[in-house]
Amino acid sequence: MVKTKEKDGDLTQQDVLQAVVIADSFVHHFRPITFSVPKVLMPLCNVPMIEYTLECLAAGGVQEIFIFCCVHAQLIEEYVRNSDLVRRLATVAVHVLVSQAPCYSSGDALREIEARGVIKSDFVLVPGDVVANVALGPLIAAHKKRREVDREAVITTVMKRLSPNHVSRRAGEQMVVALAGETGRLLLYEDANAHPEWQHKLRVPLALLQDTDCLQIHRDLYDTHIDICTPELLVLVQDNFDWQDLRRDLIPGVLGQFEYLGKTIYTHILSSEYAARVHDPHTYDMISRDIIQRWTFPIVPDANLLPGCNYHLGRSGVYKEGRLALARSCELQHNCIVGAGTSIGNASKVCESVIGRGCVIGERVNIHGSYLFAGVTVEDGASLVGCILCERVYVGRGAVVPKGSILGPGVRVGEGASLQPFVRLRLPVAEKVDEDDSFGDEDEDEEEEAGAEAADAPPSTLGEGGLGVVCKGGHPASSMRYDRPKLVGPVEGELSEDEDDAEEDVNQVQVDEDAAFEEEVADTVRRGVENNHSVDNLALEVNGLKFAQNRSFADCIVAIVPALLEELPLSGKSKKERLTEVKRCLNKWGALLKRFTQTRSDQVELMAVLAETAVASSDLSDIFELILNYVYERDDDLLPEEAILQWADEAAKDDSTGRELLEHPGTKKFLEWLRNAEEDDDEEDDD
Amino acid sequence: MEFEAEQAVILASGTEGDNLGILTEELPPALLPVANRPLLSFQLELLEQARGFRQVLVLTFERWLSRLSTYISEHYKGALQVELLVVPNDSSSADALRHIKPKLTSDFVLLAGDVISDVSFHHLADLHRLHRAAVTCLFKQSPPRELVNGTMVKKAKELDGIDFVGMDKEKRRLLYLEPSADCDKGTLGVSQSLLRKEPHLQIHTDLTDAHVYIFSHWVLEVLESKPHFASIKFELVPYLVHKQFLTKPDPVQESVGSSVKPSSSGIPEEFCCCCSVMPHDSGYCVRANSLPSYVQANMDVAKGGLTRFEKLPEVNEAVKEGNFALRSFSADSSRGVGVDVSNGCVIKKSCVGPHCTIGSNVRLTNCIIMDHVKISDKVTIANSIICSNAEICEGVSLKDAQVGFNVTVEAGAVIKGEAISQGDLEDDE
Repeated sequence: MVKTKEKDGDLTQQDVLQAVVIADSFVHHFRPITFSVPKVLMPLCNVPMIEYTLECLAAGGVQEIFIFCCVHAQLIEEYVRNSDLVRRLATVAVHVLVSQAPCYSSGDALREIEARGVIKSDFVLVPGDVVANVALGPLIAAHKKRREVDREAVITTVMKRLSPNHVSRRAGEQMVVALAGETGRLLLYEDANAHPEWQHKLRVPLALLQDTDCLQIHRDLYDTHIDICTPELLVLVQDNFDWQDLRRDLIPGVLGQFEYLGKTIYTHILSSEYAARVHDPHTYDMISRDIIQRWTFPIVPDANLLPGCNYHLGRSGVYKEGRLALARSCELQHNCIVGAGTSIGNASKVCESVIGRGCVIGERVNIHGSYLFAGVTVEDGASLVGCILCERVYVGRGAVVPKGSILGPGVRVGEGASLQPFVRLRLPVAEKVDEDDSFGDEDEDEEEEAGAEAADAPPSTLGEGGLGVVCKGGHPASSMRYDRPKLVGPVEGELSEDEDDAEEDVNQVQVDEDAAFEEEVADTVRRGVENNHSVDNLALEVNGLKFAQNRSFADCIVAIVPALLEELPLSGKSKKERLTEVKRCLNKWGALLKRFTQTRSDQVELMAVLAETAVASSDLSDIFELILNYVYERDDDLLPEEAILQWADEAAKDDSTGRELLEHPGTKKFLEWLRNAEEDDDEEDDD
Repeated sequence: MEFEAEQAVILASGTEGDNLGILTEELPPALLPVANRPLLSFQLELLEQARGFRQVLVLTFERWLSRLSTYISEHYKGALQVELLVVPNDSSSADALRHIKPKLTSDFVLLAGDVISDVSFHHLADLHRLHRAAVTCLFKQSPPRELVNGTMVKKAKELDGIDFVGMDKEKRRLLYLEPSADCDKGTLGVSQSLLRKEPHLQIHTDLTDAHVYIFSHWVLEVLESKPHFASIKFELVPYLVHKQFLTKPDPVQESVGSSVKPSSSGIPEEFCCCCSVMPHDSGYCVRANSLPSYVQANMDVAKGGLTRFEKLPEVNEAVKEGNFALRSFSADSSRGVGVDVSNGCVIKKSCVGPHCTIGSNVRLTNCIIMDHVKISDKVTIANSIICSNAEICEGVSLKDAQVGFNVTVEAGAVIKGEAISQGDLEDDE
């Protein structure tokens, strides 16, 4: 075995460490920006996002990088060609792979990469929107070591610790990860949101505990989406052609089909390094702040990764580049980046924001927590809070761009306009959008198109001279500055549930069991009626259930009667028709009831259930005395008068449901008559 | 250093899940011999060595009272003040504790009557007081599963009857406790409120509850307010563990130490549960609550070295001529007083109680022979337990068997894997 491995090594030059960068995230969170620019080329702190990923890979000792792109492929190719990447990353061979067929998911991308046959050894798989300063070397070494022990290991996912409530997480994300304590093998990877029944309690399959002595359950892990993979993974993805998303399909697929595939996934938990993925505008905002605050060191703005960059770090986290035209009274408060050639007017304030190159900011402008790409113009007195403005956006005098809004390239906001929060605008396009950032799901896409067309009218709030149409994009929850509910302490309901839990446990279990039994019997009866079983067979089935759960006859009666009567088609019929219907039913199934009424108390129970069922349905309650009369007059003595009278006495005493039926004149009359008849009988007996 | 919990309770009335078969038909579990010492003596010794216990309460049933009081008054020589308390017959562990509530005045230690351990109480008590815990539990780690080529053996683990124990990274705080019997539908429920407070939870399956607890006194109030709790281990402790995350959020008081404030009923609004883990390779802790563990405990104690407990010191009695007792016993066996052994016997890894008579050419391996047992010639016994006053006739071969009190096994019988008791024989007749 060892020998062949060495031979393999010689043939494939295992020393070359490869990486695959998927330059498409296959989601729409950044529309409308991604209509014209691929997400990975979007500026993040004035540097295209993909640069961060490539820098991390190159620093980690990767020697060959494949950038896989599908949408906007020529833009990425151009960028790689023009940006001097090859020379800058001198030790790294960078290849751009353009997908031949349309790719709808990262699964498709991996299948295409497999088909190209470029991957020869263990490789790093990373989306092109990850910012990290992780030292990959030790990770890869650890992965290889693990492979020596467990040859079936296909992926090492890299995660980092992050409090479940941390603001850097995506909104509502509730990752639950379970690892084997001894080995770090991944056993469970789920989003609790996908399991509504997990709202109060996670349900961890016991099978997981059989493989390990110490199961680590984490709510505090953040998936960095950096994976160290073995080439086998590509084959696996090829074989399972239905796997689309790496996280939603591939990982659960490998974990869930462990018995069948035998493949394993391991998890490496970062201790101090930084790694995060730009999923949506919210995380874009968070990661930008992290970069400005230098969590990503050494990848920070003043490292000037790109040729021609010339940022300097000033006090309180203000980065300035080269020739700026700053008015004397403008304030760059803290944590902001200003690109070269930008001018800022008097009394303007900039805070926690990134401003691209060549922007023109007027006087008394307030910019807070916003991202301005290159060439944006903001007129005097405008206010920008928590928004993203793309290239060449124009914001008129005194306009307000509120939180969460994204303005696509070239959009113009008129003078004095005030936009809605979370609005997304782009320039109207003459031709149909075929240069979409993603193909996504077909249906979804069509829906989106339709939505976009419907909203093509410019919003009235755009003001005079405004230019742009509303474009549907991600959910507000994924937007910047979306106020998220904070989860601390027990959630309402959980507390009370658990409070009661202990006390009512015993009773609750009983009630649950009763309900379950009744439901089961009722189902059996309904099925019997529907398929017109014989009374004997149905009785046999119900009897089986009764014995299996050690129930009394009365328990069965309680379940059977409602099942029989509730199914009858009574509504909208006259009294007479309804009575006929009930009679027909009881004619057929009376024998069944008879079998389950063995004692006087069963008979009383039957009476009570009849009453209860009648109360529940107005169709039955107003013919109750007729039903009663019919049942009483049956030959088989199903309900003898003693049982009826006993029920009447009991019902009269307590506040049971039968009370109102007793008040009913018809029932009263019937009972009266019954009592008299009894007396007559007695008299006769006396004689 | 002295230990300050002052009161200790030994549940000599038996605990849930005991399964010692015929052994406890006549003998209280607390007096079962382990290497010729009664079980109870191990717990008393443990408490004595911890020092500082003012009072030890031993709970027992009416039917065993006389034998236990004889033991305490006549045989127990230790310095502890031992008080025997009778609890209603066959009452559950929680009921027993409720019954003696007036006797308890402070935090107390609770020991199951079948624990043999050399745990250091100081460590437990430090934890308990440091965190002001409601309960501090002791867990024993089982040895790790065999590693083959560095990977886990594929064999799936038996999860029946074990506890799922969740703790924090330092193994100090007990965060989760769920007996496997309570897991329905093949899943383990972990409440979100727990994960919100402790987003990283380790659930161990290799820990056994040693049934050694330190309780805060107010836990008795909890017990009082939950009259349906029957078991301390299966209901009270899991309830407390679960409850520690359901306290109402109180943003003002965040720090652990200062947040304990007794409410009117004496139950603090916020508390935690602590635990201590005995690693598999140090310390001794066994519960003699089933036949295999009882036999194991006997062998371990008789062998010496594994535990810090001494087997009953060898009696230097004058041995009559023709008694081969000194020669027949191997070093990992234990011998009571007045044992008479004939020639040609081999006794290995076995405990032979006082006043037993053993004939010639007898082989005993892994056996527990209680007192006054007569074994005739040419008997072979392996992995078996012979109770008091039994008689094994000539040529009998016993394997994996239990012979009850006063039973006579007829000559030449071959018995494998059976339990014979007085009752059975009478039935046969």
